[in-house]
Amino acid sequence: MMDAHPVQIEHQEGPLANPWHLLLAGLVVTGVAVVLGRVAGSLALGELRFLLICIGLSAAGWAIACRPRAEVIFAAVAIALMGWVAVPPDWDSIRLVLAVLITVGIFCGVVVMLPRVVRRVVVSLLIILHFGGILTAITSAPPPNSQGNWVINQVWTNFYRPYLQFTYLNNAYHFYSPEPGPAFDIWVRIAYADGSSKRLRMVERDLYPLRLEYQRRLALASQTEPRQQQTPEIDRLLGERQAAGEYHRPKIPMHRDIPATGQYRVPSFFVKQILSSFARYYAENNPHPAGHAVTGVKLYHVTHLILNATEIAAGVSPTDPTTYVATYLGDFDGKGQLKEGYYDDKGELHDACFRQKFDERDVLRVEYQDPFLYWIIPIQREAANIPQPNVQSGNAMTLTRQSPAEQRVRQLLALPVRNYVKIHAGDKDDDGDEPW
Amino acid sequence: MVTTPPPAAHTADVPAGNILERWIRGWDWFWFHPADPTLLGALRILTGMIVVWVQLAYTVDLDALLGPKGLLDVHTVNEFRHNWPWMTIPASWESDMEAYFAGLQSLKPPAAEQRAEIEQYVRTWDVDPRLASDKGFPVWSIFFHVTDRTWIRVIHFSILGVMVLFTIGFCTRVTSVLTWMGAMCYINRNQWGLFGMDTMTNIGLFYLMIGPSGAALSVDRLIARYRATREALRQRRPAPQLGAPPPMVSANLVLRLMQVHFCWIYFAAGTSKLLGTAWWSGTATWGTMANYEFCPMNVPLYMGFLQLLCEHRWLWELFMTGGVIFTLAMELCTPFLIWQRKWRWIVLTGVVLLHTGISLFMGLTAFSFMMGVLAASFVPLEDIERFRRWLARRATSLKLMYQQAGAARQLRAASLVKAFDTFDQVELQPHAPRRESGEKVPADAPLQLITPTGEVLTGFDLFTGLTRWLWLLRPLALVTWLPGVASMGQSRFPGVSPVLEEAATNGVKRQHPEVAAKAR
Repeated sequence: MMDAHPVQIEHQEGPLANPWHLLLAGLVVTGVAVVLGRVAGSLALGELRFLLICIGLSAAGWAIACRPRAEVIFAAVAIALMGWVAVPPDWDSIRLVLAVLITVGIFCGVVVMLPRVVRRVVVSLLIILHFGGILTAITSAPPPNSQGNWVINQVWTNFYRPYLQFTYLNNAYHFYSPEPGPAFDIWVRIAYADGSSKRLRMVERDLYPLRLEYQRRLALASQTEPRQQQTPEIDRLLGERQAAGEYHRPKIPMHRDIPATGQYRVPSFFVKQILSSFARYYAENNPHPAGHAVTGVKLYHVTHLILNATEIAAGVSPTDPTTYVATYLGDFDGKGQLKEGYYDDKGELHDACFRQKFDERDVLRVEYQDPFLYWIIPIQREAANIPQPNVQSGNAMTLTRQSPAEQRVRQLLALPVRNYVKIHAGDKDDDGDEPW
Repeated sequence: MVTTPPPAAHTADVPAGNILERWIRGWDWFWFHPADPTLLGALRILTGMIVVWVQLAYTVDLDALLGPKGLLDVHTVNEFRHNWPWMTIPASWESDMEAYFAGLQSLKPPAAEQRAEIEQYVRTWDVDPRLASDKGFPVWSIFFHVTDRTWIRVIHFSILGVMVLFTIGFCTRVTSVLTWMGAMCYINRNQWGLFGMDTMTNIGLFYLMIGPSGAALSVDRLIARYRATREALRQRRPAPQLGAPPPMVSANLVLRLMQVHFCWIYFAAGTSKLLGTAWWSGTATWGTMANYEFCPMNVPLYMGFLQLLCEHRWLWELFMTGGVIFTLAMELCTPFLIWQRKWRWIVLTGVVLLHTGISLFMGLTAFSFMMGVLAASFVPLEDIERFRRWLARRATSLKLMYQQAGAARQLRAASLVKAFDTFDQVELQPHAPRRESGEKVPADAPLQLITPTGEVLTGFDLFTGLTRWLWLLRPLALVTWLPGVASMGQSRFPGVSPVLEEAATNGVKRQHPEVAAKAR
């Protein structure tokens, strides 16, 4: 039943096959968008003009699909040019897309006119260029504790970056490398003018019916990871942190299991802007039921540690509060700015989190920084004597249950937990079993 | 237009030449050899399904992820795309910081009118804008500019509609481009809320937009088959045997692009893992299995499984080490072995297992599915052809009788049947002017489907018969079994022919005269 040489049909697109009718339709629709822009004002009816441009360009694209000849392509390019004129001038990214479409269209129109062999040579060069870009994207990601290849970085920055970013092909594909790491969360505490507060978590599995929503928030939280910072000021900052912890009521100690200077973790400048956006979002989307104003939004970046095998064997819950390591990221006002506070009559600063100003040499200096800002705030078990690991007893390779390490974990589990993050935020640490 | 293709050239018989000539011929064959676009059509459908699902997921989260005051508001995103500083990499041996401070010292104090702008930039980015070689990202999205809630929804559902059309393969040359552009609008607007799935769907859509992804397994193909058949029937020519879509150079080009890119992804993922101590010590798999936010650790069965592993160290170590070895072996060996025909299905099976594990243990189902789609670009085309022939051998031959003269509706119906007849099961035959008995065939003789047993079906029974026998329409057979559908169809399209009417009243199932004659 299937013929050895079946008759084949030329591929034709859709119900309309005459490219010139389609081009005319595209021209008319895009022309209407241009006229609307002139008549209604350059910034008015932007959305409607955009939809008309899309329809017009779709018709032009359809025409090219029906007949991929140079004259049709160049006519479609002319329609794209009209679309560029029709787009509101402040829609710069749409103009960018149209400019790229026009350039690609002109290039394709020229290529179509070339002999077959030359066309293949051109396409071959494009293939090499394209995968050259992919290669630079893969290799430009620096290895751990290193700078990355100078040549690759030059090529990526100065040549390939616009193409790769425009097409979102800039990924290095370093999945779970060099190490699979823990997940992150953002904890939020919103304070209201009447003294009440509300605590939220950005990443909460049960809150989202669709897994994709939840995963997007995981991705957002992972972007805000603060990094341990080498600063000459670390000793002074550490002193201030420890003093503030002693002065706080109740006291807020340093995290017991992390080296002291390693507990200072500063977000990068673009992360600080992301945090500002988060603060604005939570302030705006969590109004007080009685209408009281939002007086502050505290944010904490939280690393949820992965339990090791000993802990799982000992029965530690993966949501044990001590598995969360929180870094204080600041107290923001409703506009997403770190609170600068105010000076009273005596010249004392109140309610400030972070202030900076330019000095006489135009260098930006920190005028005031909350002593807890960018420091880890612990959640840990408290006791007069914390059981220490006994490396002398027991064989690390023992196959029996209740190894010495497991025994220590079980002893630790019996101790009470103090959630200093809640205390720091202004709440009581015993207001529930949840870490936040 | 209908053409008869030339016999396929046997490309393996290339004359040996010098090494450059062989390389050129090999390159030409690798990238520009025509290939069956059927696989591309399948990849289009699978990618489209994922993309539509991702779009639907955005629907419940439009304000938080795309709205002007979302988690990442438009102000912040615009600041990034306009002002993100890019610094020149020093051409000398000085470090980036040394070069920056040297540059600072060389700067003159700013003019008064520039001062506020520069100070604001320094507060935001901690670099002097005058020392940035470039600023911003060349990214684009309609959601940078549209801030009205209603219009965001209009645009969102329009894009969703286009993606559905792309998935079913309608006007694919246009909808494929619009789908990629639409997906990019979401990616660029939500740049910091992305993960591997978005990366892979973008790659798939990018390449599908370049190639003829609508040439097969698409509504476009159905329409083309319908038009070709209708044109032939109108001109009273025999209906053409249309067969599979013709091989296309652009189909092969796109498949190769996907294949090479897939290999790069695996190679990069595998080699970068070798930088990590956990992968060398064989414990990295634990980091992917015990991560509470990703793994189903809230499921008691899964926690029980983890505890069982943890309580028996040998078991734990074997499981983790096995996982590490399997992952690294797959990622490092796939880019080389998958090109070997004898290894292809083994490697593809390994890829499926790897991503099934990622889906089960890490919950990254959409990402795993999309990786599977990219890997499917390696399915051998000859195996697809073999499968097609296997289906064709099991297909039932049918005959469809139609009224040729003055029955435009029947011509359209017959053409429609032929459009769905992807295995050329149906032979179209016009009613003869007179029957064997000599009586004239009435002008209103209906469309008749004749089965191999000679049973003559008309009306709704004809449709039911087609859903039973035509491969493409078989999924619709389920619909005909729904209660009420059959009776509704019968009442709307009774379609009993005068010949059968007589047979029905006598309780005798009448065979078509031709079949009866052959039996005699």
